[in-house]
Amino acid sequence: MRLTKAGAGLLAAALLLTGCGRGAENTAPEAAKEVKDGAATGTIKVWAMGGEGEKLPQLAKTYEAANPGVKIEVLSLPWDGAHDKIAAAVAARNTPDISLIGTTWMAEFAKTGALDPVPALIDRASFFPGAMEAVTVNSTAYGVPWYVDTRALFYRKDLAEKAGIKDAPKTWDDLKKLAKAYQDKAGAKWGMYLPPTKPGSGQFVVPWTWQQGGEVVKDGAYTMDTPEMVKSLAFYKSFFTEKLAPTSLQAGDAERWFIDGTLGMQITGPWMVKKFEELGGPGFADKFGIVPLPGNGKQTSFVGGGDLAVFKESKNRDAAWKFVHWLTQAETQLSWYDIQKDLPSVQAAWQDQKMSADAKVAAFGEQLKDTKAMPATETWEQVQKMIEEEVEKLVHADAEPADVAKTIQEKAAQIGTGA
Amino acid sequence: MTSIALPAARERRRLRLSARARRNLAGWGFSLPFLILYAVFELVPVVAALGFSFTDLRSRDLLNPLNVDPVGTANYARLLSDDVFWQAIANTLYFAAVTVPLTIVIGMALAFALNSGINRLKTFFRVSYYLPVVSSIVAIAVIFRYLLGQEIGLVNVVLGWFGIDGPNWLMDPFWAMPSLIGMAVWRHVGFVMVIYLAGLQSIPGELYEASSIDGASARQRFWHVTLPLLRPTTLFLVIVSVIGNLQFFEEPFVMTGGGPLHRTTSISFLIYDTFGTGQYGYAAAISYVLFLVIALLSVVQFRLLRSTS
Repeated sequence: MRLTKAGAGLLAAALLLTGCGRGAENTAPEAAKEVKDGAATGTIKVWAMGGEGEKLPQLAKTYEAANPGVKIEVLSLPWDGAHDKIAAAVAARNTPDISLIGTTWMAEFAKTGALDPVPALIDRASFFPGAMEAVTVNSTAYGVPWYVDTRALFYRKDLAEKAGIKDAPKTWDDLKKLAKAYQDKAGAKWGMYLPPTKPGSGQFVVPWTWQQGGEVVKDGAYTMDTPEMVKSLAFYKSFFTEKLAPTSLQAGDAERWFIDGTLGMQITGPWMVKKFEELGGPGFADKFGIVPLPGNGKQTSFVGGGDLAVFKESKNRDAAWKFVHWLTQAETQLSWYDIQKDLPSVQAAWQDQKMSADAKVAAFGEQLKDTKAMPATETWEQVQKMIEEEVEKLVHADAEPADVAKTIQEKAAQIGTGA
Repeated sequence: MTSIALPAARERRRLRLSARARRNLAGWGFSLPFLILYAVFELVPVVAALGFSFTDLRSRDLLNPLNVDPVGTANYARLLSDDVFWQAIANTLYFAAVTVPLTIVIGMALAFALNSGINRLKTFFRVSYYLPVVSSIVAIAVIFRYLLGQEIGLVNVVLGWFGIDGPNWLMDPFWAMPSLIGMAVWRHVGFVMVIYLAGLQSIPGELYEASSIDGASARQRFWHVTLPLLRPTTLFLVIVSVIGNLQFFEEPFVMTGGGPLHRTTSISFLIYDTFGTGQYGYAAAISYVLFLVIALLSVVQFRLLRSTS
């Protein structure tokens, strides 16, 4: 009895504490402060994940040499757990000056109010428009695309020729035809790879919807139950029902099979070019080609990558923006490409011979011209996960595309865009 | 007389009281470091989470966690209509209902074998059965993924010798959970075995002697001497395993990511997943439901297993 009373008291206290109310949400664009002229000074703390975190100090040395008095301190984090670490830093108001932020996290962190709007120092028109979309929340840019990343089609050229197909696929029909030909005439067990379980399928069904002119978010609400989405889902499912794509495989299988000819095609990202060339051994580089996604109408793919954001709590804000400015110059981006092979987010960098010399890399440059960013809503991560869970039902529970689209819309509407 | 005795008694009482107070003070002093740490790092978050489960706290509120709207029981109402949540409850119960008895029975059998049957290499067997308990889950996951692979996995290769075409264990909606159960049993059986070994060794040998003189067979000795005397050990193991298994998280986290089709999403994994997508208020609500389930089951177990002893 005493316990329940104490519990009720605590509960009431907790409710009082938390019941302060959110108040009216501010959706007006936020004005950016100017950055003062002059050289950057002081220490700039940067958090970066994965290979970027490991290699950034190498690039930063050039900046430190050109700007005496600046010290760049890079903390390298693993991608796993980076989201939570940044969230914890925001909550504790103990953020670094700059952090690398995954594109799909931008809206969420921008909404916390912890990010500093991008100042005029940075030329927004220099980036790929799709990449810029991803950092823009309430018509305010809260980050700067540092590198971009997109998906294109990798296909076995040699096997396609063996199957009597000379041209790279451009349309959905071409894609299907080639997948079948790989199996029928080139001895491949599987024509195409698509993720049969989460994660990953969202990166296929959403761009396919865009290709037909569909939208997944409109006027601040999710619009998933559209004819375009149903068609994308049906197309996705057809690869499994027609036994063109494996319904179960292990990590690494898709890569292994692509190299040994068990698999004809897969849609993946730029980092795989080098990997395939290394894993495939000498001569393999000539056996596969990369082309923009085969489309239905347009050949749109999605653009992701990494963004740089400066935190409002930064004690060295101006210097931080100056460093970000330097990182997004075409020249810097090209030397970064040498170090880390990250694709430049600045369009001008792609004019350089370094980017156009390799046909495989150039294919990604071509694809980048027709890309869109995943919606910059704070709930997108959650929605994408939900989509991928529903897509699993297409593959493993033989669900109907129309029903799946309906469920996705119902759940997405319930989650809301947070706008 | 009374006027003299009273002050003396009072004096004595005060002295006694102050001695007790001193002892109390020392006691509190010694526990203070723990109490402060407990209050700051356990009690406050636990109470705050309860409060947050009645709000719409999301990741955007990180800077101003108090600047959220109270939503009453909306999070709890949403739980009731969330099919993933019900799937997670069913998965968790399925997992615990199979894993607990299996671990305990196998652990007990191993303890018996090592206690009486196997005499050679006793230490070797003890160590090897206990090894999974102290091994890193990540290392175990790597090995189990290889074991359970579809084409090159050892399990399917062995099944292939008998002409059985094994499934892709971890990606098959039906087989994913049994695979995790197998892995969990393998991991925890060593712990159960060690505790039972200790329990077996504390049973006095005279009881066995006396019962065999009375003509009890080996089976009778097991049912009427060993098992009843192991009851406290069993009670402890059942409660600890039920609590542990209801909170199972590592297996889906490292092996399946909760899939396929949410068939291996446990409540703990769902909480983690929900938290990861920034729905802090909702995740707190699920946590409290899990807490209630565990508390309730523990009470039931105590009642059931205690009243008969």
